[in-house]
Amino acid sequence: MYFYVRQSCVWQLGNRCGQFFFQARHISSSSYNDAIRNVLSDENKERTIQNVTKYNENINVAKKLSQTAAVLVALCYTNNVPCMLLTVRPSHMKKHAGEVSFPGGGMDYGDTSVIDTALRETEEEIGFPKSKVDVWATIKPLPDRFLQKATKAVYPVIGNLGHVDPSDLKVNPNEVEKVMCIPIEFLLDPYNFGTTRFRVKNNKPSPFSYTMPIYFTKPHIWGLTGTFVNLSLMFLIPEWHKPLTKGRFHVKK
Amino acid sequence: MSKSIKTVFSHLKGNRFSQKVKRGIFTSSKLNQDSTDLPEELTTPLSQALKTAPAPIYAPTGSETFQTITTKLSDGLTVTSQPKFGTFCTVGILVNAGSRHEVDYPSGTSHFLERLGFSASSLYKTRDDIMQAVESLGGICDCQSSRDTTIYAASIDRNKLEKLIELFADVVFQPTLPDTEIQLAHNSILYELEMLNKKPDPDPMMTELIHEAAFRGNTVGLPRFPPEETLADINVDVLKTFLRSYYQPQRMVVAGVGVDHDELSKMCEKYISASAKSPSWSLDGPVLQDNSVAQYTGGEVRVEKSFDLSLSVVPMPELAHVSVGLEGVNFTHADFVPYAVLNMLMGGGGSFSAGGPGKGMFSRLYLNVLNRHHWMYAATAYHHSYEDGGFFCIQGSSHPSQLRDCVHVITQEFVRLTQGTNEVELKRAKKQLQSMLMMNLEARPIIFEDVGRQILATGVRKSPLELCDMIERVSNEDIIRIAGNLLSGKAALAGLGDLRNMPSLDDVQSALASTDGKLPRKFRLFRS
Repeated sequence: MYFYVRQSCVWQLGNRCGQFFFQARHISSSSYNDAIRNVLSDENKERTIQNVTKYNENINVAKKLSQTAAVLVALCYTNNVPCMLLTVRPSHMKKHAGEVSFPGGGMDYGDTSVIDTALRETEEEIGFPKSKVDVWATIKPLPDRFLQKATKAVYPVIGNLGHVDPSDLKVNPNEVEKVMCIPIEFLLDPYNFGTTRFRVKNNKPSPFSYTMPIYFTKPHIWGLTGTFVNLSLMFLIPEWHKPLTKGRFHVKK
Repeated sequence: MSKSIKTVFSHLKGNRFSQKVKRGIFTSSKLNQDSTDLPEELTTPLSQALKTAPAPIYAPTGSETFQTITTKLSDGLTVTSQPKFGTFCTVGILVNAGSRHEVDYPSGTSHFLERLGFSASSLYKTRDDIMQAVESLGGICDCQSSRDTTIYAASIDRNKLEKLIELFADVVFQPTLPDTEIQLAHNSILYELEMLNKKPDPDPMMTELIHEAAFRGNTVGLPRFPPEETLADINVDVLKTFLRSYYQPQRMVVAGVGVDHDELSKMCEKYISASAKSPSWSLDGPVLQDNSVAQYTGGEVRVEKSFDLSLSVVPMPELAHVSVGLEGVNFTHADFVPYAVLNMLMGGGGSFSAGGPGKGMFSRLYLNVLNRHHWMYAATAYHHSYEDGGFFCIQGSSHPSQLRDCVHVITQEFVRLTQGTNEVELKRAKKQLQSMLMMNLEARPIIFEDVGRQILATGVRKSPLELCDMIERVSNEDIIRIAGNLLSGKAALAGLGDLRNMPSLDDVQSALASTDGKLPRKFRLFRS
């Protein structure tokens, strides 16, 4: 290979672990509708936990990172549709202004585990009580940046918030500008996402390139958040999840 | 009516003058008769047809076709044409390939191909042969590549279209890529890079840097002017793989202005589709096609550089350049026209052109920035927009010691946008945009590029009148709304020159989020 193509081990291993076939999506297919309706059921919860455990066994976290952080991959029922709950950061934030992320943050001294961190941050940011969150599984951490620039290891914690009405939540305006509940059906539709290949300068001889998903919501979901969405969908509803390819499909709007 | 003519003549009848007039001018026997017997030509009013004259044949006023016609051939090639009166026509091929597709390739591959456009192919041994052939058709040809498109175009005599299409089919799909030409292209790009580094004009470098800052590491953020190191990696195999992956008929548009559509279609089918089936780079081989979506990341890029100021007779000012950008929209977005109006509203340019308050440069960056601060050498607003993303930036230049104030002024201007505009200012911006659009579209090569790019990107061409309507509908509320959208995202910051006094991205971000746009106060020993 004389071109600059090197795959990121974590992302691709994750994709290959989900060795499930992708079915062409038929909107009227009853099995698809059933799958969507049952995404937050107990049965699916068990299956998701098994998938995550299998994935965690096969993944090696390459580098020991000094800081730890956790995010809550929040699943919820909004308007009777299973959704993922995401927050938009306000524009006055120093880092990542205006970007979309899951509720979460850095680990504090008082936290006993990463799940604790995720739940505490969720309560601080969107005012959803810790006790009402049904935690499913914790996925092995991903670095917040690639290669040498990584400072934190971020643990995604999958949790079910139950029935949520976004207008009822008491959001903290310093940390959250607004709350978005995106239906899982929207995130699965190939029309609503694309991929982007990034190439960063590295030590010679070859730069490092990697592929990341982008979801076309109002502010785009990309970066680490996009990767978490992709991973979580792979565990939640693998038979309808289209695996990431090397930017081969193009969405023409 | 005839009565009044009679009265005119009767008034003259008894005069000696009238006798002379009658004899001098009206010497036909008809007029020597009684005045009531005037010939029909004189008595019929102009609103009626003359009975003695043959029936006039009027030219048919059919609807003047300003319509762009687009059809798709069986192999996916799109053919589009715009009727225009004239002996000459402009025809070209636009390919959806550019520096944004180079993530798997050494940077500069498409720039290389731009240099190698219209060079040795199967029918024409050297570039000179091609130039001579095009000259014999009555015109000129050129190849240009940008971040997302590569264009091969020629302007020739309308009647010699067939020969040109044959030439295109050969030059684009059957290049021989000999080593001599590749070496020549390599040397010419090295020379171009040297010139870019030497010349004090910052625009090409700054455009590269701000793109890299705004779209870090992806698609349009990839460098368009290749760094020297990667040039050495480009060889025939790399070029052939790039061509195989991106030069496919379904990614191409053949556009013509001033040609007949059916004729163009038939010729394309005959020559271009046939040539594309078996191109010189052979269809079996690795295909590395990238269809990434552009993603705005924001961020900071700094390039410390000392300019050589001794190049000219008069000592040149020492300048540092900085560009502050925010996320905009793509050109298919509903808000694209308001952003264009905003760009016109901000305007800007070099301080040399400012000429003082009375000159008539009324865009905001002249009125508020260049006319008020003598130490600002330039301030220009740009809106770079692509099919899946865009960003709006203001680029400023000043002496390195005043770089912080320069950024300060720019962030204040950004925040001032949320207060809206006044009616006169907005009307002026809209009128200027409309007139610039219409004036540019009078030139045939520009019509060609407009038609080709629109069809390539969206499949539909918005006519200039449609665009003028959309521009007219932009209101003050639109400007306030898009200013809010701009300021809600992450900033991109690029700097070139002596950057000791350049504020950090965090400072710029806080300034843009504050109500007055001022940078956070820093303790400074000496107030300059």
